[in-house]
Amino acid sequence: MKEHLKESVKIISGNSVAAWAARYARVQVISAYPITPQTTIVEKLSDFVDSEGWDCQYMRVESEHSVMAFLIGASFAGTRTFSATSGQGLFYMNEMLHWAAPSRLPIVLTVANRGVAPGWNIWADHQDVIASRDTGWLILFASSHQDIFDTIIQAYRIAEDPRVYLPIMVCLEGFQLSHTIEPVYFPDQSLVDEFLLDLPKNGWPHTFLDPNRPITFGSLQIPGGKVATPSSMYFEFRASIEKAMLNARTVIKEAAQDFKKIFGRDTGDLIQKYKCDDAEAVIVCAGNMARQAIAAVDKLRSEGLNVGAVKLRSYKPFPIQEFQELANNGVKGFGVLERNMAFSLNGGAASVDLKSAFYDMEPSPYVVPFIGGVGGRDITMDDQCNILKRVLNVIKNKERNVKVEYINFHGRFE
Amino acid sequence: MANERIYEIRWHGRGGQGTVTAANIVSETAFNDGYLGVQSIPLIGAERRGSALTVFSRLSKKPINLISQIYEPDIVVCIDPSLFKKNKEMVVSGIKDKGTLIVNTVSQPDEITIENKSIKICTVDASGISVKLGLHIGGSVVVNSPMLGAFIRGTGLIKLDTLIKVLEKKWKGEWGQKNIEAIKKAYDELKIKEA
Repeated sequence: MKEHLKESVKIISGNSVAAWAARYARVQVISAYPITPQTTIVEKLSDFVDSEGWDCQYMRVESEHSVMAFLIGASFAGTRTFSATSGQGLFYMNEMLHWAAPSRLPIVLTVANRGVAPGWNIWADHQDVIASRDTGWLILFASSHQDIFDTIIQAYRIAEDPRVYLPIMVCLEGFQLSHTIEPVYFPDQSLVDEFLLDLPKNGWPHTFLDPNRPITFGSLQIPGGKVATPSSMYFEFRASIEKAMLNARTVIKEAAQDFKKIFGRDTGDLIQKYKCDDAEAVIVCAGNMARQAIAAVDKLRSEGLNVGAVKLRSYKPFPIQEFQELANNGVKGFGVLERNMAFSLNGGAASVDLKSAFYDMEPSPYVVPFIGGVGGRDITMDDQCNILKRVLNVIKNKERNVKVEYINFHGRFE
Repeated sequence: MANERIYEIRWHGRGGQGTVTAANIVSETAFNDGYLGVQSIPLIGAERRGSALTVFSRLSKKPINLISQIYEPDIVVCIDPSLFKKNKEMVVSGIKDKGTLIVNTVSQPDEITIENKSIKICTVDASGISVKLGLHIGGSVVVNSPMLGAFIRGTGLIKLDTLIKVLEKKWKGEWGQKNIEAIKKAYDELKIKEA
């Protein structure tokens, strides 16, 4: 008999929220390998299966590479799959990430983001996920405990949409979200069932094995030339991932709209805007820094400054149109605060992407790059207020080519 | 604006003493007492027993959007007596004037002074209470439950009844009863010197 979870409020860690989200989504197959700060996600799931009789295939494997290999196999068979990893584990999984996306498998992977070793660091940092940028996976960031639940549930809806059929990483920052506890509202199971798509009876149509329709997976594709041949479709195949990634833009928006209808919460779609309508300067952040940006905006608004905040919710697909629209609607400067370094590019990865999005605009808005929160380094609301003030000054002084600024940086860098 | 106030609490303890659990239980109790915004953020270092750790809690009647560490706490709770003895400056650093300090120690509140600040000082021999009641796991004395009693009496932010209700769901049987006894004992025995 299908389990029916009841509406509740739980005051629990972000990792527990992720585990509950997988249970609500009726995930069928989980593979697990521990790594801090993710470990308590798969521990909780193991507990569900072992102590609470949750009906799910749970396989502990010997490495993160095997975690993903296992899920690829399970997903090929048409099941709903889940796992979690962090930092070095995500790197060890990397080859299989590249296998999952072109196989067009709707796997959902939670990444409890942590710093990249060396030096050994298990705290909040986005370098791990940024290193997976062009694997073909969709990348969504959760910014609060409630958002972890909401985003994982939405991730299944998006990944399993036939217009997408791509795997999704749902990112939550190590410790700051993974181990912190906060209240989270859990719905009645029926709402999640209503929101998610029914799994196809015979598995995903593109992976369904049928003797009457012989197909092969991962066959050799020769380079080809001026003439198209059935054995030289590699380039076309790669381009189909790009098509799916662009389709995901629409599907993410639809999922967010339906989610709002059913659950009554506005999660934002590719981005979430806060007081941007008449804002001159906005701060752009991914993850939980986006949530604290709301407090910073409230503080500066009370001082009469026209500022707003943008939560970068989807990094892949990147919200090019949404940012252009903000610029067209009067936002003149974007302060981008990131927990990652796009070495030699004067900022974090998203600041570079944002500049690219604005390249053809006249006048092009100001993009002011900031790096902070690296390896869990603290970022306060006041730090974020200062960023917004700095952006207002850049706009006022018409500064171009603004050098990246490091926040709470104690080293020397000349 | 009064109901938008965010109470900021900093907990100091050592791995294995239940500091993280204590902060989590305060958050859960506060939520049941009508605080919509509750959070506790563990700043875990080496993740091993005996090493110093800090937890930051925030309680507010409204949801909270802050995520940062706490530098100027309204309340400081020190679960471990040796930490307070050796690192008093670190434990009380930034505590707000008119703030509250709650310490597990055999010392009296009069014996503790905080320079240049007027602080409400509360002390209780939580370790002594736990030893008497046999509250230990794996050889280390669990001092978090008496400190919860001290917290409630010292701050008045949450209710003792609510806390007991929360705990009765979590800790069953004799172990649970002993913890509740420790909480009540510390609540009664807390010595207070007003700011």
